[in-house]
Amino acid sequence: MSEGLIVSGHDPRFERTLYAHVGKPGSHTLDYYLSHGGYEAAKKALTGMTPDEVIEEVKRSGLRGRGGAGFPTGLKWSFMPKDDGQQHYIIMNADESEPGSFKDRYILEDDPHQAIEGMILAGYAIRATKGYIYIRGEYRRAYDRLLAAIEEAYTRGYLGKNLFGSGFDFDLYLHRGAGAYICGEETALMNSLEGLRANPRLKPPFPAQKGLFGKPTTINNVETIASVVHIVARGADWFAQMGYDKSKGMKLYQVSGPAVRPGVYELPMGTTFRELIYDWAGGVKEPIKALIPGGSSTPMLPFNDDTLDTPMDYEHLAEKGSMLGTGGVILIPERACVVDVIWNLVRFYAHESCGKCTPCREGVAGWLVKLLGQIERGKGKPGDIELMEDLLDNIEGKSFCPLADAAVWPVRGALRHFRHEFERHIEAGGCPVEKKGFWG
Amino acid sequence: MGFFDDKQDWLEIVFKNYPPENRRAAVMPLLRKVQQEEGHVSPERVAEIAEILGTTATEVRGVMSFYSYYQAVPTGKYHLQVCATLSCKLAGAEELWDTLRAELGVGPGEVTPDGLFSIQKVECLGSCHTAPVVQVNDEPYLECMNRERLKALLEGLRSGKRLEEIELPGDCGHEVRKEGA
Amino acid sequence: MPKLRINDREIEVPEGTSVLDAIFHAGYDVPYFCSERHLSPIGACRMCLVKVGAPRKGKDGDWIRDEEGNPRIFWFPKLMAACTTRATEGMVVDTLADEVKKAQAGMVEFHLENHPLDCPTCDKGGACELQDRSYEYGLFEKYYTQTQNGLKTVLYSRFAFTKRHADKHHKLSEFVVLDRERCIHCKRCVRYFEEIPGEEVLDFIERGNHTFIGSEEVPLPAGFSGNITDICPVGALLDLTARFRARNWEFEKTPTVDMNDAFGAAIWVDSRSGRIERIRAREHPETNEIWIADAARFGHGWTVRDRVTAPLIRKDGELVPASLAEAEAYLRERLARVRGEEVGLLLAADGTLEEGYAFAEAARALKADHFGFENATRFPAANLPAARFEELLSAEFALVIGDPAEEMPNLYLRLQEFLKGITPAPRYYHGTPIADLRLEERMPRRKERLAVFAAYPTRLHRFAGIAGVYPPGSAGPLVEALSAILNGKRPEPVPGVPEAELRRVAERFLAAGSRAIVVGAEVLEAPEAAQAVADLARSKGALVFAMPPAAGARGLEAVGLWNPRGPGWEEPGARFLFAFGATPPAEVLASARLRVLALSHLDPQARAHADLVLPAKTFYEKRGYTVNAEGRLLELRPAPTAPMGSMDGLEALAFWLRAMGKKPPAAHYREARERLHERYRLPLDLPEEGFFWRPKLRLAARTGKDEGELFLQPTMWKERMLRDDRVRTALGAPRLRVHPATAKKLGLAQGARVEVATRYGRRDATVALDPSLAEGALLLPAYGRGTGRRVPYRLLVPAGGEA
Ligand SMILES: Cc1cc2nc3c(=O)[nH]c(=O)nc-3n(C[C@H](O)[C@H](O)[C@H](O)COP(=O)(O)O)c2cc1C
Ligand code: SF4
Ligand code: FES
Repeated sequence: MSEGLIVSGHDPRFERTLYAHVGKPGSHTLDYYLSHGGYEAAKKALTGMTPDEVIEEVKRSGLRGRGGAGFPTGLKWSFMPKDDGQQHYIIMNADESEPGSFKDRYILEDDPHQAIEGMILAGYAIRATKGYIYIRGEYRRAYDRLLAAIEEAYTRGYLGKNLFGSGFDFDLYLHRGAGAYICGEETALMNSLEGLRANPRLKPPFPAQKGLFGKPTTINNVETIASVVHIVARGADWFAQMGYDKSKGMKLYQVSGPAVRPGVYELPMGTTFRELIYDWAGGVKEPIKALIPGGSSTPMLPFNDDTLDTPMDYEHLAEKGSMLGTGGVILIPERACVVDVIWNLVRFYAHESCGKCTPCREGVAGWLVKLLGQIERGKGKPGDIELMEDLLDNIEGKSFCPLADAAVWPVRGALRHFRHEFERHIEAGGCPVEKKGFWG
Repeated sequence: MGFFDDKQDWLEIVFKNYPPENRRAAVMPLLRKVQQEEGHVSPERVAEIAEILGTTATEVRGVMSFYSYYQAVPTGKYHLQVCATLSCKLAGAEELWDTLRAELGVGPGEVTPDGLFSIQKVECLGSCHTAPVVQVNDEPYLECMNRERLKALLEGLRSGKRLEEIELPGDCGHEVRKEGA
Repeated sequence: MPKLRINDREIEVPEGTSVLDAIFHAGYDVPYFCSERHLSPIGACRMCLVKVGAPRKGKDGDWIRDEEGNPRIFWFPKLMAACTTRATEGMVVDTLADEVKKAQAGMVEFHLENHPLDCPTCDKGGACELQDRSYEYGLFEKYYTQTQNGLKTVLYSRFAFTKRHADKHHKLSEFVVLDRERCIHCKRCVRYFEEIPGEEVLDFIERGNHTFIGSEEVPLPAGFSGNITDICPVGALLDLTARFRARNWEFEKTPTVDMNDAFGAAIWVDSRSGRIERIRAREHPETNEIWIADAARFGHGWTVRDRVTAPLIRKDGELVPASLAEAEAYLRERLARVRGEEVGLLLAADGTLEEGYAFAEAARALKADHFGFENATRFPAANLPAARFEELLSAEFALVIGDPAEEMPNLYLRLQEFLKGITPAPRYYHGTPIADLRLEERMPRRKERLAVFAAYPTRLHRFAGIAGVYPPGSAGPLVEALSAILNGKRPEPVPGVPEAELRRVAERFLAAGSRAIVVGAEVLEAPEAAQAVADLARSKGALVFAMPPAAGARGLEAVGLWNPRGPGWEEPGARFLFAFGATPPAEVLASARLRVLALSHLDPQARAHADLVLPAKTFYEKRGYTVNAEGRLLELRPAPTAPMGSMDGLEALAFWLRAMGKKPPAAHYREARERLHERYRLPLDLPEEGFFWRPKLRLAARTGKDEGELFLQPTMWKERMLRDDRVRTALGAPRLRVHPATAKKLGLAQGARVEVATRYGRRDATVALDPSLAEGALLLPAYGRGTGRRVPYRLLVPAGGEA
């Protein structure tokens, strides 16, 4: 292993893996995949490693869940019971619905076999002979390509019985969502898959004890599972040489908003915002006032040098009072009104609240969204900001699942850095920003 | 006649995706099938699905009403879903929506008199970098929508073209899926 | 048994206790809405947030300790929902911290945000959990105080927007109305249906802030729907029979026992101004827990209509009101020279133990050979061993022959618990656990534990691993065949049930470590079969649960109101007939010379035949003991609703006997109870811990066989309840269910309207062809009379005729 950690996309040692083939003609076919080293990692693991060795390798790599919460993947896998004689399930969480996130989609569209291979590996490690990919209903192309890829894999023996002569059987099923953000939450996802209303479930029992159809289950994000392919292929050390501290490996960062080249960028963990936005996304098209660092639930940061020089990883963003989340960076232009932006986001969470618990149903989806709307429309009263902060206190950390918190955090971030915009709304009795003319 | 009467083979395939003792897990694919083919899910279909799955209509309606894709009221042949969440909003989704409403003369829950169009605001479609985004039925997204592209889309659909035959002018002005490097 | 600290109190609780129950167990309070006894905890309302800390173990397996060597407490980073947090060793719970108070006040504020403040017109007012909790927990002074004009004001909510508007009068059935604005989304009602009776007929619709309660199964199936009106913490689900009848504090609340079936469910009778307005379930953990059937709850409307309020004497063919003195003179005159043997003494199915004792003693003293009680079965239920309902939960396999959901509805709910493998919960200082962490949403039913057979598909069939439908009349042969197989003999064939099926039942029966047999009226009407059950229970070791169609059967039989040889309720014979509480069949009345009936209501037979009618109390108005199907002694207490001068069975019998110049065995319940105490060692007052009376009896069975083709199907609804329009509307026209082939033979067409005449009277019915029945089956609801029997019938096409 070479000296120093790779924390920049400019580092010559860095090479793209997750997105190496995205956008290449025919990359979704099995032939393409095989001609680029496809299914080698699965073969290597199934024929040469025990499931525990796979888990160990993933643990050593330092991979943390890419679905937003950043839970160590190897550790999660080690919670699965061993030799309990029950059916185990592995679920790939392809519900990708957090505003600002669109990284998983292109893996599924352009490299579906990578996802399948990852599922085989994860299934093998946690002793699951059945896997589900829960894909959000709107991802039509991804669904079509995955379906075709699964069929191809079955036909050519990469799914089904006795893979690579190892004796390991693996069946993979696709399940389509139908438009509900909460289905990304792992227990709600399982309810949705079981044909129930997608309310989150009580934990404990945790999915590893009692998950899908009452059986031990592990759920991982698409990117997480795809990363495992490369960890197994290249070794934990290769993965761990990228990133800082407890944020290892490569990460799919996304840029949306007025960047010159918005899109998905695979970069080492710990790449700075500056590098992402200016070197890779080509810079900005207009003056920017803030950025949302990792998907809509992460508190926004002011667009300044301090922020731009912050490495994008779990620790550094936590220091800044925000989070890495899904790594979906949204640029907020000067011309936008922060109150309007926040109202739009809270409205999103309000719309997506499942309605199970009181603080989310009545707090987020009732009161908070109404209060913000009132302020945005210039109907706010003195004291509304303080009232809102008190509501945030009454919601945060009190809800059944983190969705309500996800609505609270962006408001908190906005109040921290842009409180004056809220005050101006109330004092001036209106939104000072013209909202027309964004559209070409 | 029941909707699924002549779809027994299809049902077989769907049920294979779930453990045999968990038939009701198939409720979402069944609802989707009806939505795709009939444009909405009527109470009769809800009852039929309940019957097939061995559960009650109440349960099926509870599930159906949870998701934004399934519609309880009829939609047009082309159901246009406009993403209205942050990135799309910052790229003009509200003007797009207003234009669409004015152009088609319908509001949410309504269908144009020719039965062709209905519209719905939806939440983030996961294509923030190609905002604003529109989805027609459950076809692949229409990205980077601007006035010309919207005009071409509506004209194409009105003239009876299939979605994939319609050529939208221009592009996003940037490579949408690959890294810009 | 973890030890933990709640505020300042150290307590020890059973393994698996929730923090919520630990808090109550310690004598502290915590608010909650979504939790409810016997339902799974879900942690949805977030009212019960408290501060929780726990010690942690280090790598060496010992507690991590502070400087003083005490285990260090690690506080959870967030407040925890007490209902879904498990109490563990060394835990520390703080329910009084400012942080906790603020959270609770905040949550109340959220609950009130969209809840209408229409408490003045809400039936739940004064008994509303939201009202109570808001009052107590909604005002956290630091949080709500505002200063205006230099004066401090306290607000209940700072929400300054329009409340959510939704359907306020959404009828779910004739009995239950939903107010969607009042719903606080606790999900108790939704969970109730899935978890308790196992019917998924109510659910949340839409999501988020738009979520509302809805059903596509409207009207809700009558059976177990009423319990949701008890458990709804607010006035969202209300009992329509009691709508706008009184404020909760105005009701006279009488704790008594339901006598519509032999289960002995505990109820509250809520009355006002001498009228019964509402029945609610009363908690009795060992019997009905907190549930009752719809018939028991909603079937009280009859009590307030057309009561007999004074003695009625037949004059010129008409029953006319008379004074008690006139009635007495009338009776004295007619009974002057009557010999004891000529007398018939009959008691209603819901007679108390004291009444039964008095009737039996009187019959003995008179040497009357015509006596008995309504709905006595040929085989006395008291001959069968009895088990406690809770014991059912320890069985591994249950065989049911009959229809518990109709014959003893609460037993059906117990069977649901049995199917889920739930055992009785631990008892806390506050009673039943409020958040029992052993319960989960959608617990699988262990179908392999249950076999069910009946003359038609019952509610239970869906939950049984082995389920069969036989033609009416085959319950006896079925039991006998099974018993033969279990005893290694060759069984006779049973119509409709293949032998292989019976062998499977026998296999599971024998393989199970502990078993239960549940038998209904049909088996009790087949003495050989019932005897076989008794023998099986003894030889193979099985719990038996008999469901006699008379509520008081076990006790009435045991105190001697059992007369295997002479005629009883059903057979003509007595010349001087005295019946209390119900009207015997017309042929019995017609054969007598004098018919004296003590009734709360007149029915067509009484109108046609009675010579003297005395005003009678209903079971809601009587005091006395009863013995339920478990052999458990229960006490009826009187609601203050009986019209002046109406009598209970003891008084009415004394009235009759005095007219004969005889001394009554007991003129008063207390006197009867003293006799019962002397003779049977029954307690004079019911002890707190309950009392079982299961004398070992070998009463001779009555003889006779069913001779008819019309099967009277068990229903929880009783004839008298049909007086109430609401009940009649809810139940719809009775259906004459018939197998299609049989219908063809009888010339009956689907939907045809017919009048069916039996010995119990005439009834309009609609023909319903039902292929799920066995061939030959012809079924009519019994409404409590002749349940489980096959009787002769005549079909008449009423005016307006065929459909
Ligand atoms: C409201 C909510 C929405 C979520 N949506 C997603 C999602 O769309 N995709 C995803 O991968 N994880 C999502 N998550 C995170 C998942 O619950 C879960 O932590 C994740 O799938 C685990 O995978 P990982 O360990 O690989 O990150 C969501 C969580 C919450 C609370
Ligand atoms: S109707 Fe009542 S019981 Fe049902 S969810 Fe609403 S408040 Fe709870
Ligand atoms: S969350 Fe409702 S009682 Fe605990």
